[in-house]
Amino acid sequence: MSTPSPRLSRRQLLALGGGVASGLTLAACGTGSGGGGSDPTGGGASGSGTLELWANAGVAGDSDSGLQRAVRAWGEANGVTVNVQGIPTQDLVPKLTTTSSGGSGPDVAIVDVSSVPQLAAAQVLADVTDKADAVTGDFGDELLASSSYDGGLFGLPYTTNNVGLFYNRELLDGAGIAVPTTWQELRDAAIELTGGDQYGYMMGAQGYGAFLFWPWLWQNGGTILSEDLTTATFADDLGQEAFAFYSGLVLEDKVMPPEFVGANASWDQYVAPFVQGRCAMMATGPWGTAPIEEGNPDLDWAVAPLPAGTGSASILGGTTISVGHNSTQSDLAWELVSWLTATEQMPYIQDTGNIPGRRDVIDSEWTAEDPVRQTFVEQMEVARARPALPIWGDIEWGVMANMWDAVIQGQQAPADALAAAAEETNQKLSS
Amino acid sequence: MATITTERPRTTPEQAAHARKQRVRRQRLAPILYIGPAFLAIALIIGYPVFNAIGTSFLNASLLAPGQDTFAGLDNFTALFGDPTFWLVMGRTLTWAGAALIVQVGLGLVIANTLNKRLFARGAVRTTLIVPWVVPTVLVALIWRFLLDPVSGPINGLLRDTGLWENPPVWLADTRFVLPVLVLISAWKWTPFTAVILLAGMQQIPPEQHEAAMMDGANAWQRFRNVTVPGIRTSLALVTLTTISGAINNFNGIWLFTRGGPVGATEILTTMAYRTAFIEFDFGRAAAISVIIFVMMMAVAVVYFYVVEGRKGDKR
Repeated sequence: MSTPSPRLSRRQLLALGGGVASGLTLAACGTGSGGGGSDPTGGGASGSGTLELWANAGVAGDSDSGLQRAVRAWGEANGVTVNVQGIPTQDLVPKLTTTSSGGSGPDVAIVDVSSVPQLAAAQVLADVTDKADAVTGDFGDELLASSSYDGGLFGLPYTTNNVGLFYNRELLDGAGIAVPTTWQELRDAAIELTGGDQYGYMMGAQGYGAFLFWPWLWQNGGTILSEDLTTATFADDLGQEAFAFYSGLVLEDKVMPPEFVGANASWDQYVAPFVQGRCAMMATGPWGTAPIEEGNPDLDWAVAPLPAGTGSASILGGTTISVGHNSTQSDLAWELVSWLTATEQMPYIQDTGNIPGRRDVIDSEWTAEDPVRQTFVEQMEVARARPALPIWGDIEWGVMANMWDAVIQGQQAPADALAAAAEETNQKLSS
Repeated sequence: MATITTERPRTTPEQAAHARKQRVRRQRLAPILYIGPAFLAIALIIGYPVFNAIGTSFLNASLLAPGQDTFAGLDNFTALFGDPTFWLVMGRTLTWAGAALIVQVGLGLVIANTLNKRLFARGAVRTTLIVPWVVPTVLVALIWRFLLDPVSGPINGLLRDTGLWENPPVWLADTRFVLPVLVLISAWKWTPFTAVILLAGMQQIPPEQHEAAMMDGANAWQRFRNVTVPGIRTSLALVTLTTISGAINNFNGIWLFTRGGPVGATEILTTMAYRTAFIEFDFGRAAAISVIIFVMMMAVAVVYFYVVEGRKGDKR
């Protein structure tokens, strides 16, 4: 039997592969193409002027994407080949974690800020506190905090975002409805705009709906966890009140397009009813822009700050770029990371419509050039980060996602479901 | 040379027996040497991970705390056996396998029996039939996700346009329909395989048997029941067991559509193992689930060898 050692994890990976794959299939499933360690290009970190960069498919984009053009330019100037691998959002963290536990993984990774604590704890990302000393002043404190875990810095802010209220101007103007600024106004507008095959507002299913609940909680004065991160507080009176309103839009007001219960696979799937012009309003981040512009360029839409409860709040998101823990070329990898996050390279990010994490860009006139961008930048002041916990992904996309599905499937009353989810979260926090 | 030939008949019976023994031993040893390398490779590739999975199932092992595993004894197993969700998932796994068996073998029998007759363009039909089987599961998922799309998919479009169903359900997100729908999609992919195996079995039956039965006045059903089915018993056992084991292991057929949701409505043991390992990062618990799956598969394998291989032995 195995004895505990740092090398154990690789064997465990094989072990699981074999065990479930007595089912024979696991090794090949879930992660899509180019599976980690066995992939000749995926092992990375092998030297000889090649760097491996992993990001989610949206950030990686195709060969013309800002990121790919940027790394090509750097690669040509430095005689290094950079392989960019785009991995579906939901598979990125599992794939990074398992390949790293097997001793390999990419040299550079761009990850969602909410997964930084988990990837730091699992030794996927390298601690770059010392390396980054000279450049941390270029980024806002809140953004640096969301790239940190347990006192160390595990990457640099690459992009930042938050969630705003997207609305279909044609539908709102047509009904003579002003853009809602409070919960009640949002609810009234949504009910008014629902009729026939048209719907007023929507959330997603699964983790999408769970993620979009947090601003509501904060707007009502609630908090997700206690300050010491040991107890769930999202089901206290303030939390229950916010959740009753949030779920009421689905269960009582029925302002959602019916297919939203199946929007569990991607943000593109989530925004589809809005893109089709069938749903008047939705909450989402800047990543919702691309599918609208590609899918329905004629749509007349705009973004407003999220309607306020007793206070204003949005949810802080974005990406962190960092060096892989197992990279054998961490100095070269860091050169790429610091180059990509330098002022001169910001146009590569700006071209994609994302907001770079650098102060000098956020404070520049560029943000005012576009009203959508302007809204998101203004909202940064009220945008809050989610708890910095290694098990956060399991809470948001496991416990909360299942709770939300049980509610919208009508299997559990909202108040009971939220209370049970808090209990389950407490168990996870204490174990 | 001559001396040797003359001496040979003089060998004692003991010597002769010894030589024979040696020859026999060499004959027995040779095959072991031949299959040795392959056996070793298989032992390493399959045996090593299996034993490691079993080892990991007795550990507290989390990927979030690399290198800090501790011995857990049977904790992972007792935690599972005490978890009502586990038994729910176990029950669903068996339901899933049973449904796959009924649909895939049932339809496979019908198709094979139909194709075993003289039909117009039989070759073309047989070739077309096999197409779903060779489509990669990822593509199957794309195709069916599109077909079943609640708004723009042709299936719901047809239901609405024909007025058969005013508000057709969101098939893959409706807890009432999602499991049966996935059973049918998997059957769409796997039934051709079943049908081809059964058809091969049916073609082994000498036509005289059917002719004789016909002379005796047996109708089509009686001929199927009393000539075809006994004739394909071995193929039937084969597809039954491959279908059961295939269904228990059919991770892609679920994960690519629903990831076990909504609200766990399509969670089977393999998706649960994956979720536990790669979303909750609890490798010890996930390994325990894998070991349980492994034991179930071993049981299927034992039955398979008993039924199929044992029967062959009888004939010999």
